Amino acid sequence: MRRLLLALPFALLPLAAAQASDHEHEHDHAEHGSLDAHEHGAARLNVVLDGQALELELESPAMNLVGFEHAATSDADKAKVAAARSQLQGPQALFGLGAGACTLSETELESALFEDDEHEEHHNHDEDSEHSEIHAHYQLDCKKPGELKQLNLSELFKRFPATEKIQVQLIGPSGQQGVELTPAKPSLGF
Amino acid sequence: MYLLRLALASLGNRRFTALLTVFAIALSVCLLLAVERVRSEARASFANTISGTDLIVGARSGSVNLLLYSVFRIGNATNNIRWDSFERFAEHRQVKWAIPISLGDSHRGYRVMGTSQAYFEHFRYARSQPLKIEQGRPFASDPFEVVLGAEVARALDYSLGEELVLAHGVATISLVKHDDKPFTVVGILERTGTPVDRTLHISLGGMEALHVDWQNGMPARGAGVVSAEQARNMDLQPKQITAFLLGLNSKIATFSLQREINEFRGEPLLAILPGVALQELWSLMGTAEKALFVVSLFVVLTGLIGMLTAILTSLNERRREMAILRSVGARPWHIAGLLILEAFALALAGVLLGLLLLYLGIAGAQSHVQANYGLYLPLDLPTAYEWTLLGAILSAALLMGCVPAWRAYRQSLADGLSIRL
Repeated sequence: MRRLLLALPFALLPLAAAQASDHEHEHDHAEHGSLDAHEHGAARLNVVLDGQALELELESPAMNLVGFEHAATSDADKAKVAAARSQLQGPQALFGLGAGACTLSETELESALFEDDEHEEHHNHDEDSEHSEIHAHYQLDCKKPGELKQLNLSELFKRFPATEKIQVQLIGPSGQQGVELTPAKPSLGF
Repeated sequence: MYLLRLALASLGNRRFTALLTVFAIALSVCLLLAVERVRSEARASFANTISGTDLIVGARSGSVNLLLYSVFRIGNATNNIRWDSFERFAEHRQVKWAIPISLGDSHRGYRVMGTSQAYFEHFRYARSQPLKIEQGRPFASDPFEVVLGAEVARALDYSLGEELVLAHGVATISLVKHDDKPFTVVGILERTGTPVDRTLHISLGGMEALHVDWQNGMPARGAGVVSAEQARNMDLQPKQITAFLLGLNSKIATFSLQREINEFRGEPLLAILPGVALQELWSLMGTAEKALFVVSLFVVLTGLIGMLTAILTSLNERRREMAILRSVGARPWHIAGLLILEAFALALAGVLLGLLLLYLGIAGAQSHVQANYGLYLPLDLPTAYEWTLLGAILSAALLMGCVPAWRAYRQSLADGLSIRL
């Protein structure tokens, strides 16, 4: 009977999850007409492997990667932005893609924080928004895609400890998968 | 061997209690295995419902909701989507094929789905298996042709060439029937074990023709009525559909097309990845499934404890039996072994009877479950996992048998022949 009672919270889990999402810190950008969730600690990663082509898209609140979301003005803040930026340049290490003989063919990093760095003239285009996102897009070319067995985000969780969970959508040879990865469970098979 | 014979003879002497105990264990074992089987079959048939589709697109709602109505035919769409939107994305350069889906009517409790030829060509289930026509052909240009799912044809006993009348709405008993425009069965699909079996497929033109003379959600009367013959000659281009399935040229484009659809300004659309939505749905149901499994484990435990109680309470009555056995030369460990064997025999009989009950139950309910829930329960031998469960039950019974055995062992040492009852 004790054990049955212990199981009760699991049975109620969906309710609790539904409750929690009510409290989630959601934010909408009215100009797109669509609602983009912005939850500190959470990020989204889309991965698709088709033949030799591997693409990854990481969308994360800047808070998780840099530690703040306002435009970097002080030297310390600028250093943090630069550090995060250089970390994001190496997706193979970040996502644990050592196998498969992959070479990076294209990287695209987008964020209001990065823009402010380079193009002073059109900065503050979302000044009214208190939140900023960092969007990273990678294209890789894998010579031996068969050797790519899994995606491992433990390095990403280690380098950006403010990231608590990543909602991963993965399309691989075995079909589509949607999983939430956490530092305790950082890997997902292709 | 003689110990086993003695144990069985002793049980035979108390056959009524023994039978009840066996029956309790059998029922609990049957329940556990049934839950396990339904669980694994539900999971398998779940994952097999759709394959090869890269995106499902519908009106903006929740991904699980969209998956439920477009693939499982459960629930209803919140809104329909415009035909222009479908055409726009069907002609997208990344799109290889597109299957439109139009829902809303039914036939004796089975859903009717309006679709196009592309459905028979491109829809895949399980491991990329295409739909096969068992008899007849797919619907052609005539709007009043219907292709039945295997289950519909079997349960309602339809054959090729028969005429049937569709009902408006999805209630089992519908008051409004499209009886002015009967459909002819032109094809019957092979069994797939998916919701396709429980669907009637008509062309989008047929769906449009059914409602061509409807006004304000009511069938036309008097002069406004358009007969089937007239409808055939009309332009039956649909203006709206419920959802559509997309297959892409390259999977790489999936996420960018998904974003493009979700940000489409023409109307609020939602594109989902069926595999991801399936996992989301399963994780919701997974909790209930686990709870069910835990409950059935406890039922087995209750059955075994019932057995323990039955043996323990009989111990006192059987002190004379033990004493006689001792007097003819049985050693205390013989007595202990006797009781362990007794427990094991009861549990084994229970497990065997439970298996028998399970197979009888499956054989009896198979077609009903398949028809109503779309679950195919195979009459297979137990899987490795099920054997493990059964083995665990037997070892638990052996372990429990040690309790009365230990007591009998102690008593037979102390009692000797001089017990006073």
